[in-house]
Amino acid sequence: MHSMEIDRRRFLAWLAAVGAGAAASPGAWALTLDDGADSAYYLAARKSQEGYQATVIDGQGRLRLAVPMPARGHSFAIDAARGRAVVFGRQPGFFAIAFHTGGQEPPRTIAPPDGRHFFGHGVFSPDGKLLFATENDYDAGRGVLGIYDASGAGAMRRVGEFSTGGIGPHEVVLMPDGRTLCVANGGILTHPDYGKLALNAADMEPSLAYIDMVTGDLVERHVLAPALHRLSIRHLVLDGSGAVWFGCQHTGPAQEQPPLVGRHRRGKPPELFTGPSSVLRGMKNYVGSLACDVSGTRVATSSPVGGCIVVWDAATGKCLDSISLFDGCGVAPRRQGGFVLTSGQGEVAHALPGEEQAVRQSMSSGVAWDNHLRRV
Amino acid sequence: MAMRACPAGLRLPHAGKGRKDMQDRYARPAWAATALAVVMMAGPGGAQAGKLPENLGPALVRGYIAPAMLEFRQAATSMRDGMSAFCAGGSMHAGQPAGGEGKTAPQGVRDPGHTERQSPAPDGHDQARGAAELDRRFGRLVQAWSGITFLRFGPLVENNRFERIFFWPDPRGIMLRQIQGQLAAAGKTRDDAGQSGATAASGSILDPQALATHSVAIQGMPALEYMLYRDNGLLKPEARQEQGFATACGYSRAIASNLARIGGELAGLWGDSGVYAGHFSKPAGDNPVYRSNQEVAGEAIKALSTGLQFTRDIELLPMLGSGPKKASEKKAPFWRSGKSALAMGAAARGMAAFHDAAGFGYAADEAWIGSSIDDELARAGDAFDSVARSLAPASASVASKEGGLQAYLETEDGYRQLVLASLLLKNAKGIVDENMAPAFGARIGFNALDGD
Repeated sequence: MHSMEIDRRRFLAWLAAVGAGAAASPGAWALTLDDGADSAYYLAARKSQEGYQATVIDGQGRLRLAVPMPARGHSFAIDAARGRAVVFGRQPGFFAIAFHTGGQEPPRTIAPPDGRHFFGHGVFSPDGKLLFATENDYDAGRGVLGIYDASGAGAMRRVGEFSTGGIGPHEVVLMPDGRTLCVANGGILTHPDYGKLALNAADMEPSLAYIDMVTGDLVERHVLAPALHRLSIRHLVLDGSGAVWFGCQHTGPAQEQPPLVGRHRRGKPPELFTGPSSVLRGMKNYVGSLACDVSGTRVATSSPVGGCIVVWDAATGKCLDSISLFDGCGVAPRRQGGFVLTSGQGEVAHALPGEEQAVRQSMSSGVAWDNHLRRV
Repeated sequence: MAMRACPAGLRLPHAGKGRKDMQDRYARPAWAATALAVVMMAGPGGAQAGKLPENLGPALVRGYIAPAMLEFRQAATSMRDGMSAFCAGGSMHAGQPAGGEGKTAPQGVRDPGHTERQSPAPDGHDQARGAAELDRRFGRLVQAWSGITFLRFGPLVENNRFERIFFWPDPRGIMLRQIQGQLAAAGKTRDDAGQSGATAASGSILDPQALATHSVAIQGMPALEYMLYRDNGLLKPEARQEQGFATACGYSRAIASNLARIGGELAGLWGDSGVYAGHFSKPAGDNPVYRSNQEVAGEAIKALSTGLQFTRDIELLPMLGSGPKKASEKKAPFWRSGKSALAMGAAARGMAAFHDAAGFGYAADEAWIGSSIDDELARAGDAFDSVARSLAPASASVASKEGGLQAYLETEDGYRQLVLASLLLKNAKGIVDENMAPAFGARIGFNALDGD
């Protein structure tokens, strides 16, 4: 656990080393491979022998682009139409880096303002003009969406913020209407002096919040039953019908095994799905990432703690499969169906419909794929 | 991910070496230092040269956990009884609980000892003696708590017991704000009722049962420490002349009673017929918590790893800042009572005793792992104890301990001593994560290690 001061110092030193994020030649920061094998590409943060990197890889784990980071990264905001992405530092994150997924231009760094840090997730507006990032206003102990002007070619400039209506906002997704943002307020109060230590375990109140990205209005908010107040809502994905699926991490005693996966349709209360008790128990009270397949009918939830990826029927909430992958967390839709998976042990694998085992594609020694895998 | 390191490479230099040299030499991957949610997994491919004792759970329960929980209960009970006697103006004798172990001290709404009118007015000498005795009992309580802080699973997590006992760190000062608000309200209630004493109204923080329904921030040891050691705290020579003495004393006694109650629950759950002791001692397929001995081992190793991290990263490093000039005692736990180093030393010794109680059977070529963990923790304990001794001259007033650690931190030798302790803790955690865990077939995943 780093002190905030050290993180800032390290980040500033790193900024100086890469020329304020804009001066380095592409060759200095990017590795581009023209394999031409698969047009589906994915984003993943990783730790490798070269240090922390944000990468673009194909479905077999072959590297297309690597952008160095000063510290561990987490997830991405993706502006697919313009081939852009932003990787966020893992919470408490004091850096983000904007880059072109094709490596056309040098990456540019983004620093949060004083008193804020990134939580690791963000999203672009549909027109690519704004970037929204989940952030911690840590002295006030409230969650915010930092708003950054992404319209120009230069560095993204912070232009404002909205309250997320909760504490500890983690993942944010854009709803199908192109205007509403859904935020998972994890409910855990943290302060960067103490890393990720929960400072409010006794009175957490996780919530799902819908925010109008134009006005900042909190248009809808849901909390789970009081008995589930230590069930931190962390990660989100939309299914084909536009429903929000959420994955939770239980911060209460291990002998409690609440449901960890849920679905929310606007205007209705959230629904929770448990699956068979053996599957629920196998998830070890932890979901690290979610993805929906290309058909929009299957949702996968990963548990690196339990070493399993569980697949759910998006229409019924029925648990369809549980696939073992040690330390597996990254999950994204595979172009031909099923899911691409990554693990902290350097493995890239596929979860295919009807297959009980993950099918290994590659295993990179010395590489640890981080929590999230995002399809570009 | 686990890297085997030769034992010699893990040894720390002695304190005479430069700090930078030590930091550079023992720098570890960042992720290893950032873990809080460590999860150990029995997984395929985990090399397992060591042998887990078949009775690991019972050995840990009987050899460490249950006695440590019992000591916390007794220390809290002693504190409660000491508070009762102090508030009533009676005398206490060192080592002799005023109310007797296991007895329930008078408390709550009908407690005549609550009223200022009925409190004798001891002379200054009695006040000093009473304050010294409470300080001693609080020190015992801090040490007892430090011996169980790292057992942050099961009973200590249920019902927010950890936070009820120890709402800390508190970077936004929630505890102070709430206490001040509650004391003002309690004082007003008393005035409205036209009473001269601090009789507990329904829902009052002066009533232990009611206190347990209030915010966890005002129920535990940091709150009690504040009431005892703050500028106009109960241990100050002139405390009994303060206007709000009865309310402050009643509230402090309620906190101590609350701690004794929670301690009783912990001791019960981990005792011979305790529910959780049963879960931990008898792993089985139908056990709701632990299905195998391996899972018990995972819990034990996780407790050690996260306990080491808590003591170092949460309790110690923020206080050290980036150098002696940036050091701040106020970022340490128990700084008001001057017991920060005492707490951290007790934590290091507790974790060493826990490790020993397990009876892990290291393979011959890995025996260095167990002895290194013991050595590093013993040296860390020594370093903290040395600091604690430096801060606690026998003649010092119990009421003026604040600031001692700060002055000590600002000296080069003092700062270095605590940096050494931090390196020893870091080293011990490194051995636990990278050598001990894999020796018993527990794999630590990169993503599972540090959840997000």
